[in-house]
Amino acid sequence: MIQELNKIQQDVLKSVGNKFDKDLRHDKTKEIRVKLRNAYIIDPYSIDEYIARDGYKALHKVLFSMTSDEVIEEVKKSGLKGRSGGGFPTGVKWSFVKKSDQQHYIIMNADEGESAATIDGVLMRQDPHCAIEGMIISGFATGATIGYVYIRYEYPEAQRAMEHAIEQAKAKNLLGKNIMGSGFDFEIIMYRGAGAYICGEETSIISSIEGMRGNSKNKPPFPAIQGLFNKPTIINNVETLGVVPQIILNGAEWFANMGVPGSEGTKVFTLTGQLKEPKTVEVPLGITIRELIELGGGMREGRQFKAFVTGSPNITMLGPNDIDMPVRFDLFKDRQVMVGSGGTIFLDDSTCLMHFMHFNVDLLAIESCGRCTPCRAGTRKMTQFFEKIIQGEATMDDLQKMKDLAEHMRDASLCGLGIAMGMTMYSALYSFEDEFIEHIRDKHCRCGKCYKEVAA
Amino acid sequence: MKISMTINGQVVEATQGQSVLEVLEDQDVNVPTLCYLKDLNDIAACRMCVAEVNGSRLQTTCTLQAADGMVVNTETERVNASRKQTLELLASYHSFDCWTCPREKNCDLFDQMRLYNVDDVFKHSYELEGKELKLNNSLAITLDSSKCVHCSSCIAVCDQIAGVGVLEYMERGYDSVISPVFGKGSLDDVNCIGCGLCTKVCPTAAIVEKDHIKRVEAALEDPNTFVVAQIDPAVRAAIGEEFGYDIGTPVETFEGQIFAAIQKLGFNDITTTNLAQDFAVIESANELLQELTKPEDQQRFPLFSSCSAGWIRYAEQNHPEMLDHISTAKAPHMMQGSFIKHFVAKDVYKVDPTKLFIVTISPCTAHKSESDRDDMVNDGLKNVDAVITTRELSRMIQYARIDIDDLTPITLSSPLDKTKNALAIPTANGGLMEQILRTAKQQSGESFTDAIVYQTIPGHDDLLKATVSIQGQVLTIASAQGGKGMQDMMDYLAIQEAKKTAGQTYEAFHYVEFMGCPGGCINGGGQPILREEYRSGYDVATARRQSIEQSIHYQKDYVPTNELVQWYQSVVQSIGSDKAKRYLHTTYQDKSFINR
Repeated sequence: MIQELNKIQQDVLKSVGNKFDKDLRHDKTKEIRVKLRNAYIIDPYSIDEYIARDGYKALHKVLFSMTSDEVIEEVKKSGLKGRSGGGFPTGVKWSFVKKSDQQHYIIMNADEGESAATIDGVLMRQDPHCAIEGMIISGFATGATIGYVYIRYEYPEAQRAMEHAIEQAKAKNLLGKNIMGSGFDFEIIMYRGAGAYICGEETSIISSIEGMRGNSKNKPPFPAIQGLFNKPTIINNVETLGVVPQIILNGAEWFANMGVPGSEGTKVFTLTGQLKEPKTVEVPLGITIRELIELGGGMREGRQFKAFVTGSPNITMLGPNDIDMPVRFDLFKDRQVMVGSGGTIFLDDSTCLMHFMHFNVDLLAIESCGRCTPCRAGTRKMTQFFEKIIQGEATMDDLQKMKDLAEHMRDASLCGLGIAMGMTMYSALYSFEDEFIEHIRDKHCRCGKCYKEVAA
Repeated sequence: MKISMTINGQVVEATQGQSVLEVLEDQDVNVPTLCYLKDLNDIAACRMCVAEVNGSRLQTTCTLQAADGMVVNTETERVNASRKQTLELLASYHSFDCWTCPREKNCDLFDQMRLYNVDDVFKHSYELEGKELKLNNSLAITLDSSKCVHCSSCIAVCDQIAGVGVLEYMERGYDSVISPVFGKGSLDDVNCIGCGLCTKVCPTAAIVEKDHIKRVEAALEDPNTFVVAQIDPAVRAAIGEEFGYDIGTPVETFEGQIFAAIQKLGFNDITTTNLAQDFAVIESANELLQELTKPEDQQRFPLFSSCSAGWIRYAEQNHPEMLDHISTAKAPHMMQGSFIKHFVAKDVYKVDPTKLFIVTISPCTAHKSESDRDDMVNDGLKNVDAVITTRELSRMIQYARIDIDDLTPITLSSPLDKTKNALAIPTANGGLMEQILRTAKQQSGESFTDAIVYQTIPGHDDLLKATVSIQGQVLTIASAQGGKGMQDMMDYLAIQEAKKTAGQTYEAFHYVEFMGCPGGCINGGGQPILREEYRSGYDVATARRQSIEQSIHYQKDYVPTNELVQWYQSVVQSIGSDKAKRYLHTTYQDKSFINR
């Protein structure tokens, strides 16, 4: 089988000319392309071009020269952590599921609902085979034989690319029964979501695939113990699975040497907001916010950096004082800031924070599933508080209520959506409490955007 | 296996596999809950039962498995503040019209708000800003989302016990409401069977039975109307609970005062539905005997009972192909209503039937929809004009400012009470069927001494079967209860039918009794609310049955006396006569979801 792969590789390399020599990186930046190494270089609808870029070699290596324990050990050693926000070690998650002797499942979370993130979309559109290969490897490592791709409703193009890639892989016996003659079976099922933000939360994905309303479920029991159809289930992000083949091929140390201890490897960020050149980049973790701004071409002309916001609408933020902070999984835990899925927004001083918060909080209120009390009612109450602030009707008493409510939501909500809402408020108040107080006590808006509704 | 845990500073012993909530309740630690129903609804939605566990983020104790060495704190400031804030959020959009609320004295939300001294933090607004009010009325159940706490208990019982699953969340976030599935406006448009289980698990008054009190009050105020109350034996067993008597107290302890209170409300006559039950038994036994005399290829076995209104709705909606198996005899209380109006009103009450107003006091919410059926009208007169539940009766007594302790007990003296107030078995599982078989034997001149011994059908714990011989034929009978049980039974029958067609050995059934409520009428949807029943698995039906079984009126092997049968024959001309068919029997229609 490896001879076939090699032959395809040689044939393609002969025919493509200098197509693969293209380098889209900025010369002087810290950008490293691991997950995005094929994006915008290969033809996503051609499995041969993926194979020519060392595709499916990792799968061959795993199937014929490694045991499942060795794969998990390798992933553990690499320090790979979940890329969708939680930052839970991937190898540890896999080893939980491996212990079970029941049928188990792997779900690839491709429901990238964050409005500022287009990472999984780019990966699936431009390099669908990379995620598929990672998924098969994780199936081999954990003993799962069925994988679900839960793809976002708004990604029809990515869905087409993925479906085409799955058919191609099946045709080449890289997927399906008896893969490459190794005796290992793996099947991938595409499942398209219905357009709900909450269905990016892992327990909601499970409800949704089971055919029910996408409500989140309480944890514990964690999906790794009792997940899809009450069987052990691993849920990994597209980005997490997409990097696994490279870890296998290049070794755990190569991956761990990128980034910083505790936050190994690279992370794809979508840089959006009031930057000169918003774009999707892949950088090693530990990069500072200042460097990220430089990658995005700097703030707009004549404007000052105001806030670095991760995620949207599940936002957590850092202020101008933190511009030299390195971006790491563990650094901001005490400040309730999450690295998140990688969708980032850079705000400059023309943005009124109250308007920005109101927009995001309202979006959360709309997208809450409505199951648990703190999130269902709390998100709406928080929206109303921000409306009051914008209209100049809020009092300092209301600010205290907002703090209490945020604390309550962080403490008692059922799933990540409500918890994140509490973190949002915490991180916003940590960096921008003076702006809140200015708005509420002094009825003054630095950007001159609030109180207009009152006058009108 | 025993494990040890520390609860509020005290080391206690627990069993592996228990949830922390169960351990806490074993230790008499008060933990408020709204959504939790044991094994039915453990979705941790309300967030009231939170506790600090091992010093981490607050955890819901209902879903957390107890583990060795766990340190649980339930009374810290953090926990209490969180519970209070949850209640404040619930209170911020709840419709507080408590003084008119059917659940004013039995409201979990209200109790917990008192307990945690909840402030009006979010400035409760009666316009319920942003939240669309939805009021869904059906013939049996009223859904009021302005009182909903989104605990989804109703969804859980409807799906898992009633087996019909007609309630579900609609919309999302703050706008989410629990409503009939597919966004239908009314529960009548979906396959609701009206069993009323949802009304018994709701912690507030978001799901209640349809109000018939106003109908009854209007009739009582009208001096020209002659109002007759007919009381179901299951109501007599449970009404005491509404007035502070323990569950299972023998009925005669409080019954006289209740009758006196009903009389004081202004009812012109009070009777029981015993007479009707006897008629239904006589008619059904006759139907069974007639079926046995037919040649074998014309027999329509298995026959199904028709006394449960929930079952009739279930069959019409889900199994229209089986409708001709159902006994055509009306449900007892409908039969009695029709009998009073069309046979005996002029003789017994000396009243014109158009001036009669018949009120069934019933343990059943499905009876409400049954009384409003188009085919329950004869000669332009409704068989039964209103149905009030046990709970509604107690509310009516309270609204009228009647203190039952002040009343002198009375006994029933209705001219219709031919059965001497006997309390018989139909309230128990398979009881009515047993009576029908006893009567059938009696009418065919055989003696019936042995009690029927029920066995569970292998593989189906909720289904019972037994064999009885009549006229030399051995009949196999079965009993199913609750929506889930009815579903199981129909599936089982379908399997037997398939085996028969395939030429394999199969089991033939002759009579199947269906009960819409698990536990039978005594545990009906209109009975006093004890959320403990589903919250911790307390067997209400058995406890409540004690109040009948320990009563002096209880007759275990009751069958209609020959005198009664003769009187009945003289009034309706003969059993199964055309007149009886017209007024005491009914027809069924295909009401399946697709054909509607």
